[in-house]
Amino acid sequence: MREVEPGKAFVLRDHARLIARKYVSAVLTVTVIVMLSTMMGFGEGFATNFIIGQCVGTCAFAFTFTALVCLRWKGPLAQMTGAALAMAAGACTGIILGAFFSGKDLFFYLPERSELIVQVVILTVMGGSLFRFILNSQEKIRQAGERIQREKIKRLTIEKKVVETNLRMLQAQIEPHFLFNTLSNILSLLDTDVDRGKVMISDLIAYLRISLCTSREEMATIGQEMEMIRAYLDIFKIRMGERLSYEIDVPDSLRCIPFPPMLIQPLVENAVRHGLEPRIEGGDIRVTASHRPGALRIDVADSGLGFHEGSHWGVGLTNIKERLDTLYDGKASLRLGGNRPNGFLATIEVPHGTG
Amino acid sequence: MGQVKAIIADDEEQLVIYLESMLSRIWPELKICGRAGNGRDALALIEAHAPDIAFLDIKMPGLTGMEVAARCGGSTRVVFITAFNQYAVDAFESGAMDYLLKPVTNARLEKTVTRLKKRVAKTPPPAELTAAIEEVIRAVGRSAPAPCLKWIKAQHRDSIRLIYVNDVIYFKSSAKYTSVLTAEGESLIKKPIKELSEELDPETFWRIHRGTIINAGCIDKISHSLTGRLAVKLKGSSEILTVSRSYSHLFKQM
Repeated sequence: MREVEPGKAFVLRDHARLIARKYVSAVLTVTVIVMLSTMMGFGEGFATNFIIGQCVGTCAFAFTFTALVCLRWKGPLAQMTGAALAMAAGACTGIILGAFFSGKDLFFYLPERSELIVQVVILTVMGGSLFRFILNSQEKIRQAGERIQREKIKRLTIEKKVVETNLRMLQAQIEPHFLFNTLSNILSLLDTDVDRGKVMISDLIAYLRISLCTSREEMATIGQEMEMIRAYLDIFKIRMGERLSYEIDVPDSLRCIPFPPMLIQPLVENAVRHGLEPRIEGGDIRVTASHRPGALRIDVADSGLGFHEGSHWGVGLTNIKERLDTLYDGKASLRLGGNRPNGFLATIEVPHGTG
Repeated sequence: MGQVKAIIADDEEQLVIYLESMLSRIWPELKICGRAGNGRDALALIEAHAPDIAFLDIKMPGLTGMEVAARCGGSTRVVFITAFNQYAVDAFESGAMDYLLKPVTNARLEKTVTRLKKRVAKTPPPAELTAAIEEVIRAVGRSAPAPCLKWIKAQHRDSIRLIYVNDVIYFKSSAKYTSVLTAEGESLIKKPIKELSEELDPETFWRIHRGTIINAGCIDKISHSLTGRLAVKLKGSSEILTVSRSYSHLFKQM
């Protein structure tokens, strides 16, 4: 009788239907047993046997049920023992009640028919346990079915999430402000400084090529991502002039390591847009990759405004966080905090190698 | 009418140079009397020169173009320069504003210049301009509706951290602050529980007590005392949190 889900609050109302169903099957079982035992010449004739039998059944059911509710935090062995004891106690109570209802004097039975009472108790415990076992198995099958259903829903939800995050990533790549501002600059440089204009066009091409091509693959490499960030920051160096300086520090040994595309770039974009651009004197950005046994770490640090009112780091960061959680099954981390003396520091850490 | 004066403000120097060179071709009589790389300098220029026209980039450090426009008032006519932003553009179209879209093209600039030449003579009353600017600011604000709280700025030991809201195990009010527990330990925020409960996603975050909000995804066990009180144990915390009666309905469906 798995009336009670282990580890959950028990509310009688929610279980009423289940209990009623089980009680009906218990009454039917008891009726069958009473009929059989009467035919075998057991006890005192059908009517008396029926009354006593139902009392024993009902009491055993109620006692066992109460015991299981009380023992719902305990292990299966404790529950089984408790249930058996409750059944025995229920059987005794049931006999007394049954004797009372059927008008038999219990004391009349006691001395001579104690054997019968013991038999009834043993029969109740055995029958009850069998009954519990059968109902439990049915319940388990039903629960397994439900679990499979839930797993299916969960898997579909995850798949949907992956598709959604990929879509958002695609949208994030070509931020219209970035594209139009960069094109404005190129247009201007074509009049004033053709060579720098050409450099900016090639940076834009490099940025778009890597970001658009890798987005369709599940994994890029650290090296590819850093090349894209270099192109991105070079574009901003022309746009912001003296106000921006940057450094990318990635050991050659880490360049070939596979890494999800477009995870680091949004952090760099945040640093530029919310850290340096709104700061009159600008500042610098430092992108570093390092590894320790078992983990690969990427830092994006800037010396910009840092935490300030009206900074909208929200959406981009949520995308990164959700993609990390999906891609690394919760084993990757995104840490965000203040940089010293000012600015913002974002750190991505993902599992790497066997360590 | 004397010589028309203008200033140009954009945080990207190249774009100032470009606009100036385009203007010198299209409107040679226009005198550019100042260039600024941020909002503060732009406002100072406007105050110093009282130009007829101010070309202002919207997104600038110091003060945004909007803020500069709202403060300068007087007889200066503002032309906003903006990259693509549908909401803002819609607002400009409806209002009495002049604007230029980046990248600025010759044709578009010519149109704006023609309009400006007509309008400079009779500047609109400041009240009308202020109303139009407010309209634009509202429209730009509309483009970012406030979603459920996703990131929380918290004091973690001696530094400030941004915490992703789903990483939070529980929020608990303590004397002056609200304590935030994550797998990495405890942090503090100033926002009171009541305010948090209004901003958090109610599907995930359950208020179980006047001073406690828990992440429902972290529930490990719920126990039930003889008096019918519920207590919750969360994954990642050894603490047992009590559920007050008025919030116990949350657990009824479990």
